[in-house]
Amino acid sequence: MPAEPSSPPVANSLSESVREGLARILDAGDLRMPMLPEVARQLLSEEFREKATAKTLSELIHRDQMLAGQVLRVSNSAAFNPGSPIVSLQQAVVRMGLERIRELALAAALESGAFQVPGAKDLVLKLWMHSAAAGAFAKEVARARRANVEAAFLCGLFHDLGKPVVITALFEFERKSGKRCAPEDWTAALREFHVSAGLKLAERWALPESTREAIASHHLVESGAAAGEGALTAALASALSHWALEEGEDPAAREALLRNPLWPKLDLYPADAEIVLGKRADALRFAEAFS
Amino acid sequence: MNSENFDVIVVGSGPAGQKAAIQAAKAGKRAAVIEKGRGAGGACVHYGTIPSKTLRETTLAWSSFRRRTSATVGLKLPENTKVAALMAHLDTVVRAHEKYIADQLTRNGIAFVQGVARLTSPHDFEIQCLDGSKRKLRGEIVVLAPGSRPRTPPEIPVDHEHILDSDSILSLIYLPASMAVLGSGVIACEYASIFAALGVKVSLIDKSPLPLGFLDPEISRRFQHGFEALGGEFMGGRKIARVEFDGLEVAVDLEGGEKVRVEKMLCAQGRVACLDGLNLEAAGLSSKDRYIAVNANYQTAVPHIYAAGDVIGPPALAASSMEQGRRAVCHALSLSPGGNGELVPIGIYALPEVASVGLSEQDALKRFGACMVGRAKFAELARGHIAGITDGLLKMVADEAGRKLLGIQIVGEGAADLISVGQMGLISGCDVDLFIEHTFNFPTLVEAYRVAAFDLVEQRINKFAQAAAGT
Repeated sequence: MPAEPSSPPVANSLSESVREGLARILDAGDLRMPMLPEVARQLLSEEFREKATAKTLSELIHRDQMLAGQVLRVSNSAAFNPGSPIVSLQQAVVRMGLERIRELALAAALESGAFQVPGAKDLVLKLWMHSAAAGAFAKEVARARRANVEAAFLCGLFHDLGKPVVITALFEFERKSGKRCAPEDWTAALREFHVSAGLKLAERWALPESTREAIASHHLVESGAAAGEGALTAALASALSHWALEEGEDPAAREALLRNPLWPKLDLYPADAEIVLGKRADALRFAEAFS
Repeated sequence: MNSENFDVIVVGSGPAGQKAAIQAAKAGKRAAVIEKGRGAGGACVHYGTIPSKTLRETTLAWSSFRRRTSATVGLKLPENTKVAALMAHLDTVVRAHEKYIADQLTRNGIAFVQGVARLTSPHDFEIQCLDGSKRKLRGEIVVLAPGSRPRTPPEIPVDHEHILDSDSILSLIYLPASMAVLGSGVIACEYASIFAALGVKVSLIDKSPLPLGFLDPEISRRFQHGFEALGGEFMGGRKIARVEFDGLEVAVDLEGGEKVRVEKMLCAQGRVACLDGLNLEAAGLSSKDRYIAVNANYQTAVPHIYAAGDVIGPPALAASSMEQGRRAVCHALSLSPGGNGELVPIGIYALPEVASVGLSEQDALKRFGACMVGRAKFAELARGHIAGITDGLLKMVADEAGRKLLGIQIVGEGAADLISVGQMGLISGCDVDLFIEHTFNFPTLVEAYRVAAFDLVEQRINKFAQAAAGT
């Protein structure tokens, strides 16, 4: 059974056969992404079709990183001739209009609807909740810094984009090889491949540069390496998301989070950090929409 | 924890703080600057003057190029142009300025302390650093120059995402299709005109009947005309009933039923002094007022504590703040500051640019009951035609006799630089004839002074002739 989605760096224990098999599948580049079933269901429902507004559609798209990515990819495609890059979901909705985005989102949902991740429902759900809460917290971090909120949301939401890709690839590997991967292989595979898989997908979807940088570097900041604002924001948002979802009631965890060295790196003072932590309920509400 | 002792402690490293600290150091005093931000310079460098002027320069270059080539090339900025790309050299400019200020502080032996300052007594500060640690500083003389931040009226739900203030507006990563700008002051008019020049559909909304309402109405109307020529719309005399982001657009409902729907909104309804957390009461000062009260020497009610810059209220201009900081320390150290420092020019870096120094026509009428005004339209200047700047105007205000120079107002490209000629004239107490009796480079926009002076001389002659005919 798969492990927790965001495992801390530990010694690599991925067996060679799994590594080779996964690399082959991921290199092939034609993996299809899982879609959160609830989103697909809502998009397809008659009720949603009748009552969809710009607001409900925008909220729905924001909830799902896969759908969000596909909306960005398709809205940037030659078919929609955007003229110049669409760099945020809000911009996509405003630019392309409610109906077009709704159709696009529906198409994206239908396209991905056939993809399930059997046996990993809980893991995928957890992953999405983590990403959603990270997206919500990234917005608050950006707000506190007077930085761009839309770009920060994408950095938070997509920073672990590669993880569902790796999960899908692992299932594909198990199906093809007829072997079951050990739990430690799941953990190690997620750790080893999620950045490269996420980057590959981000490039394919033409995600904004700051989002790609967040995917590429959000783990590097843990080792003190130089990183851009997007990566720093994503890394802090990820820590905030873990705290909110897993440790929010623990005063010691809260104290430890307030001492996180990413705050000063982002020029945020303890008082700013308190304000961001105060948004926990909002971030949880946003994430729990998936549960 | 022991205190670090200084002769002069300055809170804030913006224009007022920098010059206060440098004046103290030049006088041989041990000075420290406490700054919340990572780099020196304050809001002026990071959110105010420098970034907005950088965006303006890019916009000006773009609009000038478009204007000068309109006959041969049809140019339009692509939709969704990234603001960040337009501000490509912003980082370079900000870093260069930060470094220049930091070098200046270092060169003068001034300690730079990053943190949030809190007074614990009339002489003592507790500093909270970014990592949460604390430091204590003690100063014999204190200069408070913490600057200001955007004012957010309670009825405007600024979220820094759809509804922005003058700090977060710089975080935009793409040009919106439409924007409402609330306010009609300097910041509102600067950003409104810059975004209009970039092709954004801008609605400038305010209760005032004219933009830049504190200026000569003729100049304000000229600015409005220029702004509307860029495609902007000034909606004066309007009151906001409700503002909301409805999930797709920012909905602005005005009293009387008018509705404006835009992609983004900028709330630019003034700035407030950064007094939060300073704990002024510990020093015997009140934080209940909007600004810190000072006398003509920038001294507060506590003799060794001075205040300068935005924190003491209008004019809250970078140039005047610098002078206030310098003068405050001169007074504290019993040094002569030189000059009277009262003649402060105003520069508004909008499109078109606006500048003023000395008395306006209205000021002169109010003070003396009569005045004479000479005008020069840039359309009458060779340089105006060459550069494609024909919509400018220079107003020269003189006494009733049309001789003594009292003030200059300019609207048009280069106004903030051009005004310095008039400022020097005012400082020297010159007659308007000076601008006729001396030679200026040709062709230049400075010729406007000569044209306006000739206008005054002509009026003077006519007035004399009429008076002679009447007798």
